[in-house]
Amino acid sequence: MITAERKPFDQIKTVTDQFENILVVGCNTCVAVCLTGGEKEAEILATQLRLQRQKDGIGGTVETVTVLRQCENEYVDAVAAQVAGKDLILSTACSIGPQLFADRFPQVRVAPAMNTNMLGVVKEHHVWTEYCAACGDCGIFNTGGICPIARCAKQLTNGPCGGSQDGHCEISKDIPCVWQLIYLKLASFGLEGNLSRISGPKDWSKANSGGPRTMKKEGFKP
Amino acid sequence: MERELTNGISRSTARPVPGDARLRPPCEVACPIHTDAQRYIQLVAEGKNAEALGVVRETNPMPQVIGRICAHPCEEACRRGSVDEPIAICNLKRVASDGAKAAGLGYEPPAVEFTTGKKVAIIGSGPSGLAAAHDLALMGVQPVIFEKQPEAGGFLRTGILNYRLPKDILDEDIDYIRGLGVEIRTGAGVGEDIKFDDLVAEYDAVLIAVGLSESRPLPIPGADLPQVLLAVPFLEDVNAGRDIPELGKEIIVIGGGNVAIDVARSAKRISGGKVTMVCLEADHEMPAHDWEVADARAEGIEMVCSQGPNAFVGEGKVEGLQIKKCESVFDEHGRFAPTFCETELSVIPGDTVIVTIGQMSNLSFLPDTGPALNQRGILIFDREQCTTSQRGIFASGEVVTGPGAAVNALASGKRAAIAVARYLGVDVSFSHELVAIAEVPADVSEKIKPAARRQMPVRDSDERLKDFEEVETGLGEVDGRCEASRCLLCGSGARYSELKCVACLTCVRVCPYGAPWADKDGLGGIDAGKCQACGICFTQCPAKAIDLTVVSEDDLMASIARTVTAFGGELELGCWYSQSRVAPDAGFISLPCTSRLSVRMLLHALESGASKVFVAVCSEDDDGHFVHGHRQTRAAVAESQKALAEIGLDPELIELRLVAVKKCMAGK
Amino acid sequence: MRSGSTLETVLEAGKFAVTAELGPPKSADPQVIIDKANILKGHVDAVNITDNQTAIARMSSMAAAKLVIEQGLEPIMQMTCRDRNRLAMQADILGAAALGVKNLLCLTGDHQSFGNHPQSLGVFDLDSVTLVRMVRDMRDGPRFQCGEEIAFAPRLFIGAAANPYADPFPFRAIRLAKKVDAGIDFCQTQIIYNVEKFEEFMRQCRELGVTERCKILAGVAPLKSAGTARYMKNRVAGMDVPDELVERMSAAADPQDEGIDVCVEIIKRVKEIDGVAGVHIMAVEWESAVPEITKRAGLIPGSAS
Repeated sequence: MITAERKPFDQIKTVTDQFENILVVGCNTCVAVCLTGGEKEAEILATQLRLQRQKDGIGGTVETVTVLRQCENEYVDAVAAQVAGKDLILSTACSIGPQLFADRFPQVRVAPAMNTNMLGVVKEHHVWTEYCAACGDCGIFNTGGICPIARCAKQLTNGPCGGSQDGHCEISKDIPCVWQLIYLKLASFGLEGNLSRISGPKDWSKANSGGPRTMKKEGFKP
Repeated sequence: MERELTNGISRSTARPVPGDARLRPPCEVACPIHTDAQRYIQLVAEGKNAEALGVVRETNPMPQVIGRICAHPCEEACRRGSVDEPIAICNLKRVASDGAKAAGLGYEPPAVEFTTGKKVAIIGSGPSGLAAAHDLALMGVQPVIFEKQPEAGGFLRTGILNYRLPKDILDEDIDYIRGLGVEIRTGAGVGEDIKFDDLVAEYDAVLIAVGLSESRPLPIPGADLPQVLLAVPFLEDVNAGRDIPELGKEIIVIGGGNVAIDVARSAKRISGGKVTMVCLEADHEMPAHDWEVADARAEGIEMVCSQGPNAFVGEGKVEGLQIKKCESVFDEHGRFAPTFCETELSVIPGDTVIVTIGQMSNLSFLPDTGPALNQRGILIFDREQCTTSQRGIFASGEVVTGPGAAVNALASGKRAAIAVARYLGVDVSFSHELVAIAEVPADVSEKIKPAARRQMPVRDSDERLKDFEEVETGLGEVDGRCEASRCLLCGSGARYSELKCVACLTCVRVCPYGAPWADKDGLGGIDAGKCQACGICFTQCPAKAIDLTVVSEDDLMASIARTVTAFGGELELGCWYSQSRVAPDAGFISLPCTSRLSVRMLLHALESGASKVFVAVCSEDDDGHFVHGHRQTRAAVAESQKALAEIGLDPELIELRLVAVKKCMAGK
Repeated sequence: MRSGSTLETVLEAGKFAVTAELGPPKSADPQVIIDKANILKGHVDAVNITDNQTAIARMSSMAAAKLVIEQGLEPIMQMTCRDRNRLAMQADILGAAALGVKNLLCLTGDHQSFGNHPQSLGVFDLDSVTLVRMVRDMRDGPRFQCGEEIAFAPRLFIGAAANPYADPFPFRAIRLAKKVDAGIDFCQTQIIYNVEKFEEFMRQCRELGVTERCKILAGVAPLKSAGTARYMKNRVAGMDVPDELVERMSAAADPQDEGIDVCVEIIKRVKEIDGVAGVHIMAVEWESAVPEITKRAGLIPGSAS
């Protein structure tokens, strides 16, 4: 799923203090599942804002509404009535959400309440880890089903580097060295010899580096 | 298809029920016996007459009779009526039974065992008695019918004429019921030869279904003149083939109801003379069905409306009828309370008058200790439980409901059967109320291709007066299928699983009729009132959360496999609206629209062993019945062909074939 | 001869090569290079010029290498994958060769989070293995990474780093073999303190036939203090510093002197290991220790003899 973290309140406040009538819009898909931006969290943020603004003597209103998903026109459009009359839409979705709100309601200012951080897996309850870099050219079959682009700090295709120690990445003991994992995984199938083959260089033109991507489906057009 | 008598409505258990189980097509809701009209019409459209007849039989014990004479309230409720004209639902029932019979199917009653060991005496073999007997037999209760007339059928035989309901057709329906093990004792009138109390003693329950067997007399001056006839005896004589010496050449029929129409038309045929109907009601108020009035007028019968009978004129014989202007028929409460202008009098000349002003029951067979009557002489009756004041004695049909259509009598008899069965300890319950799908909204209505209703062919109006042979000759297979294809398939369309829906909005975006709708929290629902059952959302849904109520995906997949296995070789997947077959020797499945075919189904056909699959599609000029249906068909075929090419198989194993649309579907 | 460099000549002749490191300044002052070059000249066969080592911005390796050439000392230019994409790398390789650089050490590079610009983008378009292959193809193809021919090939002696102490240990010799397949001519190992483990590593390399195709220079470094020893042990990834060494440094009266002695001892030991073709002395910001080390170890650079 896409995961995102709530920006520090101070950062949000710097923006929201400038506006009078604010609509906090929650999203009930990815950010709800990673417990940062769903209906509940949106309501909490809205409450915080109201309390803060009361304390700081700032007038105006802070209301909340949540939609199923902020990446589709129809769901965003469905709250037009709530958007009407507001000066700022503060979205707790990943950054796609506020951008779509900006597209659909061009007259209203829009701000993100979140920092979108990764495409992640739920490692365990309440722990999310980056698993995919959306590089557009997935080669994980050769690395035992483990992605070295997302999970190696240097996105090596022929890792590990010399910094791999005790199974963790040179930059942090909390980060497993993914090339160690790849090596062990391939070894478990007796395939560690595959790692003697040189892999790469990677075709980055399929990743965001090649330009922002658009995907289309052929077939039935309504 | 297993039959299951639950809730008083026979319903096939193979038939899935949409989200709100009470939400049904208006034809079914309006039908007093809640026949699944939409389902049998769909089967007729596909040429499956025997199956269609089977669906009719789930609720209707007298399919051919009803397919001839029904008052068809379903057609008044038909949603197609707001687009152009209602579907000829009644006529299509006859297409089904005619077609099934032609194939030698549909008239083999199942073997029935009277497992409860209980017996019920039914007095009267009219529609309500026959219906009760039929249903009781299927519930394992043994019915014995006592009919005073020499032949069974009640008013269906004695009151309705051959030209509307041929006797042999009536016999076929009655014989089917006999075939279930129902004993009908004719010439066995209760009260004379058989005592009512004996029946009470000998049987576990008694059902009074004697109908309204007596004509209401008209006690105005001259009523005892010899040429003043009463309707019921008149019709009995006509139906029995007896001569009627009193019938002259200038006949007046008093009455404006359906029976009066039948009396008039019979009189016309026998006498060859002039027949005039006189009724209290104004033209637009006549209680007879419009179509019967039209049939009568076509046969040259005149109608004199808004006139009441004042006196029979003549010395020693009828010379005419004195009539007075009727100013209103109903009071402000809608009760029958005619008012006249006593001074506006005139005389219609005539040599015979037949009084057809209504009927009454004959309950003289009831002992004083029997079920009680109210002050007006009508059985005291509980509509819900179908009970009389005497325990174990039930009643059904016109004797307690008052005059009504035959199908209402069937409904009454069926309800009584449930009541009797429950009384006898059988575990059944009454039906729950159904709710009709709403009117077709205007924005959907304008997207439905207009197509004229197929008219029932009738014999020439002069020719047909020469005999009592059937006037309507039947729609026939070709027109029948055309007519059935006009059905909007109400309530048989998309239904979705909330659990599987991922709220991706695909259905909302692809439906040409705007049936699926979403709110901010996800898919709101699919509006059965708008859904045309084309199948586009069904094939497009990425989560497979949408299925079609009729025919479901599983059924269609099984049908494909079965058809391929049965026919071998090629398979043609066609639609109701196409003019001709593409591959006449191939196995064939007919669908309302080929947009119902998913990629998986097309590949499934090949996997099941088809050597080639033809998919019919209408042109890109949108001349097909369903808006954009052809785009989905094209997309599914293209995707399937791509899938075949990817694996190194010839993409043309699945081939799109352009078909022309049937002319009967091409507008008014 | 692939490049005709001094280092290559020494190694091809089978003489024990000696290389050292020269870190460019965090300034535009060429004098720093000039002074350091003159300290090392005559004591080593060639000297590594680091490239933004530990992700700290310094004068570029290529510029410093040119300054070193002008002082009459042979540079081994270093190039990491962290700061440049393949276009910039190829440009710099052509430029370096044009300026007279004949040795190139290809590295993945320390992660940017270690340095003084942790907010910078880590490029990592290639990694050390694909960089080596690209350089080899530029030299021998001669062609660019995209396949186009190069009119005048850069003639470079190609090296890479090897770390016998990184994990997974069984894979390390294999990874070196992979670099050899990619095209390295020589390699320099990470600093050796645990000689036993290094011996095992070398045994694996010999078994894989690596030593026949690639000249392995053992990396050594004098410890300045017990603190440095501890730092390297605990804070530097891929280093194996035995406890006894830390204790020895702690106990030493003159830690620096002790450190040099330790280094010399290690040099003498590794020189005896079959397949070790030279040493690489990493006296970081202590270039002056190098002549002392070579003297005490009895090392005369192969180019001098």
